[in-house]
Amino acid sequence: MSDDKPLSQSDRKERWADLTSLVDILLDTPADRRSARIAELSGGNLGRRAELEALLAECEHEPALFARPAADRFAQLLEDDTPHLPNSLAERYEVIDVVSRGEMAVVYRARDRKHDRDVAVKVLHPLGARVSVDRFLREIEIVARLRHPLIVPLYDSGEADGYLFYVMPYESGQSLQQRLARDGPPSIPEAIRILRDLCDALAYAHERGIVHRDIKPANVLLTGDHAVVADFGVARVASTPARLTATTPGLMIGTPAYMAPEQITADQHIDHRADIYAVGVLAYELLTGRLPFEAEQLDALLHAHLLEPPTPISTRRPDVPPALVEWVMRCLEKHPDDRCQTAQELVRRLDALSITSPRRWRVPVAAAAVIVLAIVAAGAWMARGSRPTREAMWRASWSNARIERLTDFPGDEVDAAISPDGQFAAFLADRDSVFNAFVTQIGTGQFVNLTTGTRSQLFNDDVRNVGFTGDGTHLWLRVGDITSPAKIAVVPTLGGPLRPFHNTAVNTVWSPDGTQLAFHEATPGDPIYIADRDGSHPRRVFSAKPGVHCHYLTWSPDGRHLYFSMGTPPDRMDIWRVSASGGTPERMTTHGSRVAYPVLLDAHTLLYVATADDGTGPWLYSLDVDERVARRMSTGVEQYTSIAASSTNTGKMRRLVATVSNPTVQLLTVAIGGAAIDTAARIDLPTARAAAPRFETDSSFVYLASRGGADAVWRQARGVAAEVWKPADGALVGAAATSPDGRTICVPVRRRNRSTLHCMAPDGSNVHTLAESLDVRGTPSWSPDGGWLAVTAADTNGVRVFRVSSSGGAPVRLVDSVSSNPVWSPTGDFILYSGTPQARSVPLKAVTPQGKPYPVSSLVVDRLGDSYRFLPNGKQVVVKLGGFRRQNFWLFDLATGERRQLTNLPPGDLVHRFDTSPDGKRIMFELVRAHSDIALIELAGR
Amino acid sequence: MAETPLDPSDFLVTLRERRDALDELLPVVYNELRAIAHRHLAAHDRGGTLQTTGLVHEAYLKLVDQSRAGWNDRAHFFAVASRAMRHVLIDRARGRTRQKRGGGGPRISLDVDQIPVDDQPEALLQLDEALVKLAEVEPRLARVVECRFFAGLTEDETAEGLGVTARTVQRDWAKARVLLRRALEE
Repeated sequence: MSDDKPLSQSDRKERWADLTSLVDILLDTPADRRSARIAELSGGNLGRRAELEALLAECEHEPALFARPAADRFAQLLEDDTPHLPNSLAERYEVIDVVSRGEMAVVYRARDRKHDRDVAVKVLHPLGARVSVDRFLREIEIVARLRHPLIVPLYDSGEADGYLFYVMPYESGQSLQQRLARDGPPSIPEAIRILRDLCDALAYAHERGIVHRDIKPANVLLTGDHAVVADFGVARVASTPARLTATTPGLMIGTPAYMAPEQITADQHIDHRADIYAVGVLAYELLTGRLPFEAEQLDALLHAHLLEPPTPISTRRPDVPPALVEWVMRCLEKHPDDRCQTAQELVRRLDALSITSPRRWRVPVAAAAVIVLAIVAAGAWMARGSRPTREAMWRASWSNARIERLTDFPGDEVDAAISPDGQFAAFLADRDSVFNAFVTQIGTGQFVNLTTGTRSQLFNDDVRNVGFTGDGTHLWLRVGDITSPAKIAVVPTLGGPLRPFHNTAVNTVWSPDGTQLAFHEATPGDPIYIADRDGSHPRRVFSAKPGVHCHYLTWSPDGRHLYFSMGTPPDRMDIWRVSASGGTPERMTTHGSRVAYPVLLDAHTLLYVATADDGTGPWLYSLDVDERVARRMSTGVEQYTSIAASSTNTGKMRRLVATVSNPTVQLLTVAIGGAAIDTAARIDLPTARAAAPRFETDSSFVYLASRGGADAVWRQARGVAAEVWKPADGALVGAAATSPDGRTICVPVRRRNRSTLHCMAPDGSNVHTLAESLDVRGTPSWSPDGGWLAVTAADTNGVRVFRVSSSGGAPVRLVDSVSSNPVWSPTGDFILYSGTPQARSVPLKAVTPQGKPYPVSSLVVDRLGDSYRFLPNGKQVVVKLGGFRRQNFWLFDLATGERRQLTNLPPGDLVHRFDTSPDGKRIMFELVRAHSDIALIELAGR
Repeated sequence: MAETPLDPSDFLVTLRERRDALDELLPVVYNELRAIAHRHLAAHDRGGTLQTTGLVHEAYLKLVDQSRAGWNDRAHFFAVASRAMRHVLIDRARGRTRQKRGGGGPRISLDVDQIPVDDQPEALLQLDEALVKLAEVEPRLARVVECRFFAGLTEDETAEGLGVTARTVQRDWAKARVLLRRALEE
């Protein structure tokens, strides 16, 4: 291919265009058909064929040069960027050698001619206007005032020829980092000595308001008998990135491996306690030879600092005395308030430790166990030592639990609660076609209907709706209409009139000692309050940002924490906890699914219900709050939709009540008749579960179904059903939509907390992703010309409707406010969607493909599943209207707003997703029948 | 002292709202990448390794206010960082190479695994030249090379950064390799 003459740009363009179109053809052909395609393209010309084969081979070949990324391959080019000692400095300091080259500076060992002594001259890299000279000089001035035997002093500092520098005494010893690398961890008494020196120096600086910000072994020098600290306060000046002011929040300063959580999150209020955290990391490393958190990727490392407990020191070095372990772990607390508060205190505690003679530490194993047990009560961290026993006890207790059915009403019994003394259970049931609250004294088989149809909309399946007061004498009920502000009423446990209790609360929970009440409101961010037991004197503990919800509050048995489920309901939730005194909440679980009903069995054991990664469940899970590994407790196919426990404080046997469900999900079809209302008929399908129907043609449709386990995409065509595709990993989280030409099916797949559109050929082959940058929600809708899909995707500010080209390319956002459920009109000129919810009602809106608002008659639509599907004329839609589990289909005229009821479905079941046939004559819908009961669980030995 | 031209909140705003602000953002990212690369290389002497992707991610964490950033900021940042990384390396290579361009040095091949240290600057400059040619004809392919090779981004990250599908990145990456080979052979 090489030419004698260099190619002109236009020559090249032409030649390359030929080449790339060939490459495109080859790459677009499935691998197993490529040789056939080549034969076809070469039309029998063998030379041509060889040429194409070579080209294909070239496309598939990963050149060796690209096997490693550039900075890695050309690493040497980046090295040796050593600035020379500025001339004006060279007059005073004579360079002996280069000690180190770092990110920020080069350190020279030099002779100070004037004072005739060896010094270390640190010259910062001349990174343009990277460091503000004034600021550097100002900060260094403060540091220069530190005079302490264990702090390396500054001899000189300033600017020379545009370089910033400072001069320190040259310490002939080695850094702690070098020492660790050479000799490994020192003896425990020596480690304590080093830590004491370090804390002593820090105490002095902290008292003067100076934070080091970059404590790490490389900054601790070992000279003679002492450890001295270098580079005080310099991190802040020197690592201030290019042309960014250091006073601006949001900058990460320090070394990731030693960085306190608040430094990582760029908290504006970093104080000396960040140094204390770094001391903890350094101490951990000093004792075990390893860092508490090790990760190849920076993201993972920072994540560990923020959220993960360190591997216990005892597993890495068993001979570290427990009191010293506790000392280290207190430094490593995630929240600054939980750490030892001053370096001075750290020194005192170390001194207390040192009094104990080293020999005492080598106690026989049995005695050590006693120490461990004694400390369990004092330090939460130490409790980790006894974890296996705890876990084993809990498992045994669970597997020997007595489980019995408490109710066998027809229909649904949900939201089970149990009184603190374990004697009464309450729940909501739709036995009488609407939900009522029932209470039963366990063991009597008698049920009292507390509401007798007088309250509508008692049940909202995103929050807890019923529970007992702290003293067990009353039940509370969420009685507000779901579109109005929340309201709580109370009713005596043994029955009686409902009395208003609180006007804005949802989910009231009393503290274990009964003195305090926690609740959340339904206003944006679901603010959580703690008040006196009667609801007076509320103080806000936490509020999420708008759009994020906090539901299912519960107290820890010690009353120190509130646990709750936070995220975007219904299926992007996780359990968090927040200290009862406020502060930043801490994440406990990492499901990112439908996670609800947390309850603490004891200080360490959290129970809750959650859907699994593959979308199945909800199942019952347990989690050790220290270890934070979730374990699925329930086996079998019965789903757990709620869990509650009696109080730990009564001394009686722990009783739990759970909602256990065996739902059926079926497809039904109903004709869109004239005046007459048709009865719906079940579609006979070979799977136990069938959901989310979408018509392809009048005689074929796709749907989601499973023979057990996770859902797959299925198709029924001409009466024959067959599986089309099942993701190898991940869950189908919305209906599958077939393109108008029938050649592509797109379906959202959730994998590792993100959902992406997966598209494929009608037979499930050639699966590829579309608009991967979008974290999609719900079902896509095709434009009638097949060129675009409208989808909902999560943005940083909530969900928005986007338009995505079916051939790839950047997604276009169509609506700038919270919006979802787009459905493209058959005429192509507008897209219906659900607008920003007001309270719990969702307005129907429309937008053109260009993002301009499009007028439609006003209508409040359903929040769950599909709410509207077009008739072929594009002027009318079938909408699903009605209260929870009392839904029916209506015909709605978009221009006139006229509506007509189409169906008369029996109440009690949930109509979820539906579609209208292309000929406009039929509706096919997904009907969920819950069949849940309340089960009583008595734990053995608890 | 004069106000510094770009503070972190501006950085985020610029990154978000001005897709054409590459020229303004580039020097900042450039400096940051260089600085981080230095630190990693210093660690290299003690057994650390240089991970290009790590550099880019680290620069992102440093430069962008994480409390306010969203995933799309990250994607845009990657796109800028890939260009910056290329500049960092090319500038270093320019500084190193003393002979005139095209002065009959060894031609680089995409198939070499080890490039002698002395030949590295020249190799990199030839590759850069080929990339310039590529960008004249198919700019997006050159961006894919920057992301994949210079910033060490995955297919998915590249797709995010360039606002195309991963499938397109796959295809572009294959095409870019073919065309780069042609350009180097010219």
